Amino acid sequence: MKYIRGRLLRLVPVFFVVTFASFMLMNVLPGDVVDTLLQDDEAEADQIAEMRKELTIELGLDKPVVVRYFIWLGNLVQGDFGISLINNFPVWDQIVSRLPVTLELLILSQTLALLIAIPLGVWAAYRVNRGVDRALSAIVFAIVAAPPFVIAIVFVFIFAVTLKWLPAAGYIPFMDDPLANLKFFVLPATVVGLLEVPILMRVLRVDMVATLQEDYISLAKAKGMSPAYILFHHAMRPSSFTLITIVGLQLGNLISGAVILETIFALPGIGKLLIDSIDGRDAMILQGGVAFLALAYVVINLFIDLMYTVLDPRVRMGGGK
Amino acid sequence: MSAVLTIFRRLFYPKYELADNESEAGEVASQKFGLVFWLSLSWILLITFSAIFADFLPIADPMKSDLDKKYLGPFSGDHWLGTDTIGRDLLSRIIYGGQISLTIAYTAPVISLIFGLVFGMSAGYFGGRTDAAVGIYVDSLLAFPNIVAVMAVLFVLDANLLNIILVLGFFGMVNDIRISRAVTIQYRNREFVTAARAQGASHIRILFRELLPNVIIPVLALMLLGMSRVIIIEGALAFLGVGLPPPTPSWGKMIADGFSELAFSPHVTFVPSAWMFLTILSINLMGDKLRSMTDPRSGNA
Repeated sequence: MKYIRGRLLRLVPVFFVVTFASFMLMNVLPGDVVDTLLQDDEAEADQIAEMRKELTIELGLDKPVVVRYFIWLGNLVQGDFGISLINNFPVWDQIVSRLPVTLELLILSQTLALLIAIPLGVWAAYRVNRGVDRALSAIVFAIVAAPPFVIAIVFVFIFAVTLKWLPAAGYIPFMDDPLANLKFFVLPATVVGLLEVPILMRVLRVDMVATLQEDYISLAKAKGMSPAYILFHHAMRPSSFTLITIVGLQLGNLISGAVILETIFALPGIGKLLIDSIDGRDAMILQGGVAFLALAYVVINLFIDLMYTVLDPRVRMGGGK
Repeated sequence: MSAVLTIFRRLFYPKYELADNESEAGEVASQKFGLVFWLSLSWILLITFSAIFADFLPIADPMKSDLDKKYLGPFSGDHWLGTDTIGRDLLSRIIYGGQISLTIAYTAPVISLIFGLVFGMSAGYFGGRTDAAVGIYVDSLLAFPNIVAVMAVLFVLDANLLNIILVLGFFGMVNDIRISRAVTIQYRNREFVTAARAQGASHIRILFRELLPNVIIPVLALMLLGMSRVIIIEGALAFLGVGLPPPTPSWGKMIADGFSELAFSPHVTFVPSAWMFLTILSINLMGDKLRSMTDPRSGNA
């Protein structure tokens, strides 16, 4: 319990820093919002000045920054992210309507990344410094050097343009046609997943190599257990803690990848929403989206921290680090 | 510690004396960088100098389009790497595009390094509340997905070169903070630090004269990985169309331009992609080599 309380205490300031940064981002230039709202109106100059004053009061921009921050934060925690400057829809509704796409992309790519990284990482650790291990680290090195959009282009060229197995871009809701929906996700999810594989694999390999030095592994070997059983039943769990932490910490990178891939593959997710909001100079959507993603990161990492207490009794007892 | 790094350290600290773990200079100095390292370095130097002296090289005008000669493949006559969708010379555009990417690659990690050293070393040296505050700061930085954060800041500021460098430098400091904090903790209770403290040295003096020479080497090795990181992010921004405004040639934008013609003439997008890949690979190979030579945890440092 002490551990959980420690984590929560640390998360409170992070929550405030993150929300304050998101808030300040769009409030550095308070005139900008008013100007954007006014630019379509073709009124006389003196009327503009009057409208500007009214709008400033209406938006609460006359109050001090700190007061506005807490008003904004109060609305935020109630799910009120403000209203889009462009189409007058609530920001929260737009985020929620885009969420399933991004969530599907993130879950598919994370699953794929783990499905690739865990067996390969274990294999590399089992054959540490041998041919397989070296070959895998060379492949990983190549993946790390390729920018996400380059991997995406190569995949599109091979699987969509040349072989014509998969669509190059587009989206169909899962409920309309699950199979077609998944087809659109195969390429982007593979690319985002591949971006995650190197770090997950490395981390697991290092921890696994250390675990395999332990006495109880030697004992299991001496008892004549099969290598596969030893690796996945004895060594996996104690070697997976860093892996799980990294999964959480890498979430930001995963989202960065998703933003790029959603744009390339025309998936209507949050990333596409953010890019579109930049094109349309819609500060409210951008601010809401940034705050939403950052808060999601904080909450998911808290959740992962709490998962430790289930996985590792040492943490639960207040021992460990 | 390799001879090059020792020289590097001597440059900053003329009176620096080897720590006890470096006393076997003869054995360690013979450690080789290897062929891969030199090939990588040659590639980086080649593209750096071609970008710097692009105006004096006998290459085509990167902006001049020749509609009779569009979609030419690589190795066709005057155009070594072919031409793009409106007949501009690809090689020339790549070399000029490198000016942006490489300027950012050489500057943004320096900003990360300076921020990282200040925050990381104070956290490691002072510990306690300073450490906790820096921890919260790092957690907050991590909560913003890199691309999204950079895009959002560039939305507010102008998307000009200086701002891109500053923003990429700012959001890249997390790794520098971590490493400099870890190394500072490792050294802060060593004999030479205690000795300096006993002689009445100030915190600033201990941090600069005693700890910085030890912290700077692993952080400098990390800088190369920071370089490849900012090249990728800058490329992604340009690819997504939120980087520097046109018509500045940029690798990411060239790749994006060619992407729409992928089925028709794939080389327009693949040539700059391959160029970018080679560049990042070279930097990573060098960074990996330097890191394994300077990593305090690995046995051969």
